[in-house]
Amino acid sequence: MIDILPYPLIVDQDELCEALEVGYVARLGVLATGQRGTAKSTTIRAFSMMAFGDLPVTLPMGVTDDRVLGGLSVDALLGPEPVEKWQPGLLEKASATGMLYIDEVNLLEDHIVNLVLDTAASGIVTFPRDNADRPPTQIQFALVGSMNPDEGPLRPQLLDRFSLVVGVEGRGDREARAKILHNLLEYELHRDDPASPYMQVLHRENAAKRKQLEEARKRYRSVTVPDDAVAACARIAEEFHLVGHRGEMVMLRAARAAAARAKRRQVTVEDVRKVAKPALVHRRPNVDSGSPRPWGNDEEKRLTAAVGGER
Amino acid sequence: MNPAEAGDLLACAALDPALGGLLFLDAGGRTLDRYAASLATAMTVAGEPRPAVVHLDSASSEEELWPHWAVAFRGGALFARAAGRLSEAPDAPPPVIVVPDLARVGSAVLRAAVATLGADVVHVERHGISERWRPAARWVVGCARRDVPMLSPHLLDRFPIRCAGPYRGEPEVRAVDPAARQARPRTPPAVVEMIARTMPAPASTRRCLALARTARALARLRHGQTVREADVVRAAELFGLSPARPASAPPAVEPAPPARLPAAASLGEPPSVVDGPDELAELPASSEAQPARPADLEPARRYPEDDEEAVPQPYALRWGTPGPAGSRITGTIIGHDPAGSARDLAVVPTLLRALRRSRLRRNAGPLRLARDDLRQNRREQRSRRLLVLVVDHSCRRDWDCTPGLAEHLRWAYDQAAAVSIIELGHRGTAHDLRPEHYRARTVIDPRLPAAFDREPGGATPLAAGLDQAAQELRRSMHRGWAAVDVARLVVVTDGRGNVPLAASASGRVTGPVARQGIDDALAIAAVIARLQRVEARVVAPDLQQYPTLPAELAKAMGGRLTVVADPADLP
Repeated sequence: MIDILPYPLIVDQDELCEALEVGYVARLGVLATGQRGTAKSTTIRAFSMMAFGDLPVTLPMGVTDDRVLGGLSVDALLGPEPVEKWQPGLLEKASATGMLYIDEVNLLEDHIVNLVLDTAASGIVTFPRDNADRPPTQIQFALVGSMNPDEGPLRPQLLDRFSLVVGVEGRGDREARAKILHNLLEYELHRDDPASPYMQVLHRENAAKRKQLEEARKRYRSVTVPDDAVAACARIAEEFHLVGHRGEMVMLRAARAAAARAKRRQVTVEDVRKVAKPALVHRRPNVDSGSPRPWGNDEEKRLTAAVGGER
Repeated sequence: MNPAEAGDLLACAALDPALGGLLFLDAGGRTLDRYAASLATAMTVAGEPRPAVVHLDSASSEEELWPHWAVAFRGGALFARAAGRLSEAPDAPPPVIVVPDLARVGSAVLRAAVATLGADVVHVERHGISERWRPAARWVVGCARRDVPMLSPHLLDRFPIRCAGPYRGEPEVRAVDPAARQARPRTPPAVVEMIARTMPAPASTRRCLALARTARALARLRHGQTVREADVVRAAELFGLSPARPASAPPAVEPAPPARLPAAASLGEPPSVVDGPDELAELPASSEAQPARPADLEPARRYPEDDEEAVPQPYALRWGTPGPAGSRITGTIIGHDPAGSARDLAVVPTLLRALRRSRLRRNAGPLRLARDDLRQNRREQRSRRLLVLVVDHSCRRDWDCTPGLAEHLRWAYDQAAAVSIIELGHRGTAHDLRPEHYRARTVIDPRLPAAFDREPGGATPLAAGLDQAAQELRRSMHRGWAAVDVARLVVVTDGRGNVPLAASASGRVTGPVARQGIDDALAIAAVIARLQRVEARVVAPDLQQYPTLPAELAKAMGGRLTVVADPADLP
């Protein structure tokens, strides 16, 4: 059994947790980018354990294309009665759960990135290998990734496939550190005893959070977007010179998810404002470097002005 | 590091797999072997096998590190699933991995260290094999102190425990008895706080956790129920740190078992410490004192990457240090051919062929391979040369730059180099303040001649063009299998950039720009100068105004300047 620090014990990751939850409700992808040791992977895995009850379907460094798309099972061919049995690839597996996690996404080989991009763009996976007689299959998953920008940028096309991008920064102050240490050490003290009161509390908190998110997912479809929220989206898009319309669409879907999460039936302009940063930080023109430029006070002022309708 | 310190550290690493990354500064191969053997001894549980000691070096490939299919001769030849050198099985102790020189190891090993050390889980998805496990291998790694600043900080963070020489004598291996393995000491809030204060900012969380876990492991070694301040003091010594003074509150004492009663509210709040028997009486008085710190234990010397002057090799995990020629199988698989050797066999095509033959002959039972069945992967051969061409049309007017470009275009043709073109400052551009960028597979791409036949425009976003060139070079040269060996950057310009980088980014010019566009271009040129395996060239017209700008740019890029005079100006 592989245990992961439970989601309720994650400290100092409010923005990432919020993006993951909004992404879960609206089925949007999330990229966590940040310096080393900021618990990006742990947070994503903890979220997956909470939301799906298992580790995420993971596309690791060094993955081969047969494992991405699927192929004939070698084990079945080597068995006592050899048969041609299909072994589903990670894209198909991710479609079953709804989430594909790519750890160290900027270290992925180019041809694997191409496979993921093609599938994410078309929503269809084809199987051009092993003489397989399989029809193209429709798949859908939210792409979740983590990366350390020190190790190089992402291709712009792949960056664009992440609906929301969160820059993860450890606060580094003593209080936050002490709390991280405390949570982790206490968890490691109790993790071998799932029946302990400590673990039971965590289990209940995870279950409550999962229930909340499930309800928000159900509510999401019925959340309406009034004209003022749509207008705010359009003004923000204009202010930030967005290329194409994916940015606005993501903003609206994320704002609806934020409203659903807050148990509301209607999006507010404040919802749009809250999700604008993760939806747009990587969509501003000339982010060709593949690493989002910092979002500073200037951007916040422009966002406030655009939301308020000031020109 | 004296034998007692080494013994303590190895015992802690043996007890807690999360302390598995040990970096020995300036240690030779024999020292590492000695320490690895001692660690394996400390990890050995009575009555169980001793952990394997596995050596990795620059020739270690991804294929051998992770689980793979090997040809096994049993009757007829069959494929068999083989464990990788980093594989861990539930019924075997985790291995001790030895890397003699982290600065000279191949990228496969560097990537494996990042994927494995301190990770919650390792995933392997290769050639039909899908495995995952919680990594518990310990890594004993050597590196010269002078080389550490050049390594990736991302990688170095996986090695929070640093050992500094001189390495005197044999490590005093402490017995890790069953009671120590069973012990689960609690870390009281005051001690947690002391640990947080001991690790100097801005150390990463991993270092802080390693210190806490080392203190806890020391408590386990003495069968304590509580981690004490003395454990933190000792752990800090082992890390080469000055321990923070204990909190002013009364010293923590052992809680009376079973005092573990976390409630929902306690998950966010440190639990209260329950009074219990005072173990402090057992402590030698000296343990509470602030020990004098030897000169070689300064954190800056153990963590040279924290120094502001440290310049790590960019994107080392993509690029790394290549192994010996021919040792790596590279390139995307694009098909398969009959095999001429047993190297890089295509497993599924081989088995399918054997299956078909078996069905024709109506053979029952497991497949048996014949020589004719063997298929080998056919891999894409990619160009490993790249020409990045930055063309500033605003300087061209009636000037023909092609004589200065001829040698570079010929080089690209001869080398079958891929070409990346960045154009700026022409009248037909979609956005005056931004460059345009596209890629061609070869220099004979039909778009290339058109790139030398455009009308000059007014704005010259040279800085943004160079920035894109720098990104392109990094992206192309440091991407795993597709890595380019040598790139040539050729910039056609008079150096007179009049659009600051910020204006290109925002798409607006606000206020006077003065020299900002030129200064930004020079700053980015200096970044390009630091890229390795890049040959930079500037091709410039012979101008009366600002004649030194192209030379300044070439100098900043660490490249060569070629001035091409307009034939009309020649006597």
